[in-house]
Amino acid sequence: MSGAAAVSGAVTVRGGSDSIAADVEQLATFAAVLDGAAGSVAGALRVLAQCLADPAMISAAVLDPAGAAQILALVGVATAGAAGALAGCQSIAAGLRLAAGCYRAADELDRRLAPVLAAGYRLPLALAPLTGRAAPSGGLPMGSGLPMGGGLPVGGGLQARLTADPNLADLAVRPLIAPGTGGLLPNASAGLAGLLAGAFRDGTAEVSARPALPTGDRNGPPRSAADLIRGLALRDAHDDGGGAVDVRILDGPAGRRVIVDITGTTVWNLDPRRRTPQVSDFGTNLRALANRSSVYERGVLQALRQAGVTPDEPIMLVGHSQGGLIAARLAGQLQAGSGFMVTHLVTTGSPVGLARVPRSVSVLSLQNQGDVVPELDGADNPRRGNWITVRTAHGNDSLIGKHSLESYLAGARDLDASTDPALVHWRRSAAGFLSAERISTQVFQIRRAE
Amino acid sequence: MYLPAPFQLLELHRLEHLSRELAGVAGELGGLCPALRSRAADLPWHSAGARAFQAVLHELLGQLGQSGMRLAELSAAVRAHRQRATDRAAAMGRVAHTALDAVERAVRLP
Repeated sequence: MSGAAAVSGAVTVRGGSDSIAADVEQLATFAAVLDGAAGSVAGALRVLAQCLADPAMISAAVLDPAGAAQILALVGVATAGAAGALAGCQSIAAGLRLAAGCYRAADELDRRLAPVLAAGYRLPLALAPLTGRAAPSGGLPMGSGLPMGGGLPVGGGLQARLTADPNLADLAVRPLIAPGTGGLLPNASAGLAGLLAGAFRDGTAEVSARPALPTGDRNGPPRSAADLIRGLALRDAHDDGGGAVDVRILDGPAGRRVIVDITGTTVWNLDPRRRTPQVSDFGTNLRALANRSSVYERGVLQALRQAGVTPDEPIMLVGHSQGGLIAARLAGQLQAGSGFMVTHLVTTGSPVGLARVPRSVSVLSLQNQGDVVPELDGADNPRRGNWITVRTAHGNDSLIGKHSLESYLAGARDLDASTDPALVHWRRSAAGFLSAERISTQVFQIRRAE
Repeated sequence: MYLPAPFQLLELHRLEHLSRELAGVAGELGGLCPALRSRAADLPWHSAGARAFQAVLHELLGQLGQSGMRLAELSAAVRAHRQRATDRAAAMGRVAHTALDAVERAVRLP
């Protein structure tokens, strides 16, 4: 609660830091009073002008030239003084109106921004108690795909509000950052993320094989979307602190195929001064949202090379949350001629609406109802022939529950059972990855080198 | 004061009207100051910016007060000017009247 108050306070300070501290309505009322004063002064100036123009004044000047000269001088002085007072009234009234307008704008900004900032601040705090992970390097950990706790953790009220209304995340985030919709801060998501990302050290990737980490090979090659998500969930549950990726080599009648599992954020290191070896951190989130290269992404490329993946082998990237974002960026780069060839992308709970994925890549995006993470980019996923977005509804009422891989696994089962033509077409397109006879998984861990 | 017919054409009474108008606006401006000061005191000023704003407002109130005083001074000057002009017109009228009487008497002498 104290954190939210601090965030709210900062916004208030921004709106009115150099302004006049007074009640907005009183400022406006006082401006109106000054308008009245300006009217009185303008009336005085009209009377002064009459003094000079009145024929009686000219006649009287003949009879009392000395008196006329004195009056002329007095009119000049009084006119100058009244003109100054008029300008003063008008400028101060304008200043007060401007101040009142600034206050109203600040109030409006506060009204619109504060809940989002507060939610952003509370999000890691709300998630932390469910993860049960220690916070490396002082960062707050976020576990995804872990068993969901009963009851609401810290920030439960916030979670309940966000998850009770599936559109609330949209309503909260999009008026601020939605691109091209006249939002308060158009394209602010990518711009702000880029700005903040600069504060976080990206570093170089250090990739090591982790043969000891468990794989799902004994279950055989994947046969469905649910199997794909299950493989990702297994890697997520055994990622040894974050940054673990699977490179799953499939072999069958369709030839060799490669599936890469990329897991999501494990460390919410909101303080950029705290260095963390984990690549799946908050800084990587910011870089990916800003559409900038990250150490995580470069580590995945290195893992593909170390696994011996060749340029002509079709690759399916499967990612959850941040992992989906990294996968989408890679899908935009790894086309024929680039050394690798991504043909399929599967994202779960990822904000990929602004990702630049070529039309040659078949995209399947799963979004769970009430999961706020896919909304963080403030953009709808593209509606294209190669891009299917499937909305599912699973998980309990906590933010972590809606975002967890368990929820997405349940959603994937729904998807597998669906006879929707688009999904039928996707299954046909992905058949080469879902009909292999053999599977061999290599696990790599990507860490940030010091 | 009675003025001979030719001097009535000067419409010096209009100066009296002008003086009253000036006195009226002078009183209006003079009355603005305490009203504005009172309103300004109601505002909950409590920042450095607000104090600077108050200084500007204080200056305006000074200008308004001074303008009111100058207008009042001008009103009095116009009234005095009208009085002097009227007095002189009356004196001139008396001189003219005396001169005309003398001419009339001179014409009747034979």
